[in-house]
Amino acid sequence: MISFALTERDREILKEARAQAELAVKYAQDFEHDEDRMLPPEFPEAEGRPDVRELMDRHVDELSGRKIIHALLYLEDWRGGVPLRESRYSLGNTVLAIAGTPEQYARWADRTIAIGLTEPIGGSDPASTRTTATWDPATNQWIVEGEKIFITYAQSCDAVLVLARLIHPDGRRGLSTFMIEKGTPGFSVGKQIRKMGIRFEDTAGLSFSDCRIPAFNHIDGDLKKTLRSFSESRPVVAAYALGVSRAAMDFTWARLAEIGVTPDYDAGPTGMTAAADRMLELEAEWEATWVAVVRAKWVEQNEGPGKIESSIAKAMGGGLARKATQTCIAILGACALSAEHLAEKWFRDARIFDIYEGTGEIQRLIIARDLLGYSPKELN
Amino acid sequence: MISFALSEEQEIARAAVAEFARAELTPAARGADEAAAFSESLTAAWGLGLVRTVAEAGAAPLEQPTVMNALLLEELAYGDSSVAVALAGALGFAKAIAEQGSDAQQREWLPFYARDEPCFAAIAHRDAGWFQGAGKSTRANRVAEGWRLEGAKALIPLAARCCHFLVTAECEGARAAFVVSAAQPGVRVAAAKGTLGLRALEMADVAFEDVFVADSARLGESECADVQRIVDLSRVALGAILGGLARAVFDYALPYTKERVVHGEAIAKKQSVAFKLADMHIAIQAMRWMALRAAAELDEARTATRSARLAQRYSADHGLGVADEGVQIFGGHGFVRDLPLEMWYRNARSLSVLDGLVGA
Repeated sequence: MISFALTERDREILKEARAQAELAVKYAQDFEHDEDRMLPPEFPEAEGRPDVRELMDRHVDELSGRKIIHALLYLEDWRGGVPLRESRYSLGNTVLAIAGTPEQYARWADRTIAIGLTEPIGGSDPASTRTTATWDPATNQWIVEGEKIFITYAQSCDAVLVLARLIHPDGRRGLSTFMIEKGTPGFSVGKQIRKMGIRFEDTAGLSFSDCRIPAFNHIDGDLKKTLRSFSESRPVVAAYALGVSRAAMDFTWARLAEIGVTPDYDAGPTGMTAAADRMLELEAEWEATWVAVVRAKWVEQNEGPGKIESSIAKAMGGGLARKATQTCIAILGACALSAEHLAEKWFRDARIFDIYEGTGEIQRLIIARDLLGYSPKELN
Repeated sequence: MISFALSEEQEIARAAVAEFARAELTPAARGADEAAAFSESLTAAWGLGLVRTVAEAGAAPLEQPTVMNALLLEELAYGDSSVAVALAGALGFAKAIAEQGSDAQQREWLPFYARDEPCFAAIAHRDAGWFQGAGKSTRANRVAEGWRLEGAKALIPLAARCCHFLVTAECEGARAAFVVSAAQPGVRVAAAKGTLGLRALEMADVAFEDVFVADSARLGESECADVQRIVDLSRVALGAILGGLARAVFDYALPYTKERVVHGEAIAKKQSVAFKLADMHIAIQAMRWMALRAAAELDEARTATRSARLAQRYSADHGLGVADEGVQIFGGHGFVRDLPLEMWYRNARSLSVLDGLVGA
C-alpha cells in the first residue's frame, strides 16, 4: 500500500540528526578560509549525543528502510553546513563491496577508500581513461601510471580505488580497478584544490608514477561495476542537495516572516506576494525531489539499485540546488551577499551537486538512452 | 512506513481503466473537442463505475479511496482529460457527501450517483470574476429554517448538465458548503461561450441569485463542513489529471522522435531533443508521485493542504511544460489540428489554472 509516512523510529532518528545539524551550524564557516584543514571526526558538541548512524543500524527493523534513512540522514547533515560527526560516504567502499572478493573485502572494508575516476582529460567520459595498469611478469606486480583530479577524500582516505586501463602481456585489455594504499611508493597526493564551495570537503589530485602494487590489489571491477556504485550514491548526492536547499529556503522563509510574509498553501497567485509565489514554486520542486530520492532508495532496497530512478533523483537534486539557492538570494536581496549569514555559502556549496557524480547532462543521457532504447554509441 | 507499492486491487483497477481509456477515450477526444460536446465516450466512462463505487460505499469506503481516485483519474486523463474532469466533479460531490454528509444527506443524494445513468455534479468553489477576492464572494445569509445563497461561480464544467452543485460560501464568518439542485429557483446557468481547452466540458458561469437552501442542505447540517478537505481533494484530482495528460503527450512524442529524420539522423539522437524527453519523463514521474502522496495523506488525515497544493502547483507548471514541448517536438505538425498535440497544449493550459474548480 502506498504510503509516505515515516515510522516513529524514522522520525526519532531524523529528529536527532536535525538537532545535531543545528549544533554544527556554528562551525559551518570555519573552513572557508582554512581549506587545508581536515574535518575533525567530530566537533565537541557531538559529545554525549548518540551517533545517528549507529541508532539506524541498531533499529533497522523499525525503519522505513535502512537505505531510505541512510540517505535522509545526509539531508539532515547538510542543513548544518558541515557534519557534526563526520560520516564518510565513499564510493571506493561501494565498488569494493560490489566487485571485491571476500578476501579483498575483508582486508579493506573498514578503511576509507576514495574513488579515482576523473582525469584531467575529463570526468564525464570514463571510457577515455588514460591511467594505465601494466602487468609486470618479472615482479608479479601491476605498475600504475597516470593522473587523477578532483578526488574526494584524496588526503584523508586510507586507499584509493583507481580506474585504469589494464595492459597485460597475454593480450588482456580493458578498464579495471586497482586498490592503491597510501604510502605506496610512486603514489602522491596533490594540494587541496581551491574551490568555490564545499571547502570542508577534502579534494585533491592524485598522481601515480611507477607505482607498483601486488596482484591481490587488482579488484576485478570493470567500468560497468564501477558505474553501478553511482546508482547507489547519486540519490544520496540529491539528498545533500535537498539539505542545502532546505537550509536556504528555511532561512529565506524566516526573513520573510519578519515582514509578515508566510507560506499560504491555499491562496492563489494573486493572493500572495511575488516572493511567496516564488517560494511556493521552490517548495513544489523540493517536495518533488524528496519523493524522487526516497523512491530511488525504496527501489534500491526492494529490487537493487535502480539506474534510472537514481539518475532522476540526481538530475532533480542538482537542478533544485541551483534554482533554490539562486532564487533565495534573489528574494533576500543584497544582505544575502554578506558572509555574516550563510546564504552566500549555500549558494556556493550547492553548485557542485549538478556536477559531481555525473553532471545533470550525464543523468539526462542515461535517462534518455533508457527511454529510447539507445546505446551510448547511438546517443551521446 | 514508506512504500511505493500499489495494492493488487489498485493495480487491477488501474489496468482496466487504462485499457478503456486507450480504446474508447483517446479516439473520441478530438471529435469531442471539435464539437465542444461529448459523444458516447462520457457515458461509457460513467459506466466504469468510479462514481458509483464512492456513492455506494458511503461512509465506509474502500482502503485508500483517494489514492484509487487519483490513479483512475490519471488513466482517464491519459485518454481524454475532459472526461476525467467531468467525472471528477461527480466524484468530488459524491465523496464530499459520503465523507461529510449527515446520514439523512447521504440517503438523499448518494442514490443519484449510484445509478447506471450519468448524473453530473460540480464543486462550485471559485467565485466568478478575474481574481479571487476582486468581485463579490458567494455568501450564505441566515433566514428562517435555512439560508439564502447569493453569488456566482466561475466556469463550472458541464454546468448545464449538472444535477447538483456543491456551493462553497461564506457563512457566519466561516466557510461552508451547500448542496444546491440545478432545478432550484434562482440558479442561473450562463450560456457556454466556448473555452481554450477542455471544450467538451462546455464550462459556464453559474449564478446563485437569492437561492433558498434549507438547513438540511448545508453539508454536515449543524456542523460546518471541512471545505479545506474538499479543496485539497480537488487539487489531488487536478494533479493526477495533468499527470495523465502529460504521460499521453510523452508516449505520443517519443516514437516520433525516433522516426523523424533531420540532417540525416533521427531527432531523438540529438541531445536537445533527447534531454527534453528525459525532462518530460522526470516531470511525469514527479507529478504522479506527488499526487499519490497527497492522496495517501488525505486517506490518513483530514487535510493535507501543503502536499495537495504542491502537487497541484508542480503539475500545473510541469504539465504545461510537457504539453508545450510536445508541440515543439512535432514542429508544424504540433500546431495543426490533425494531431492531438495542440489540443493537449490547450487542455494543459486550461487544467493548470483550474485550481478550485475540479472535484474528486
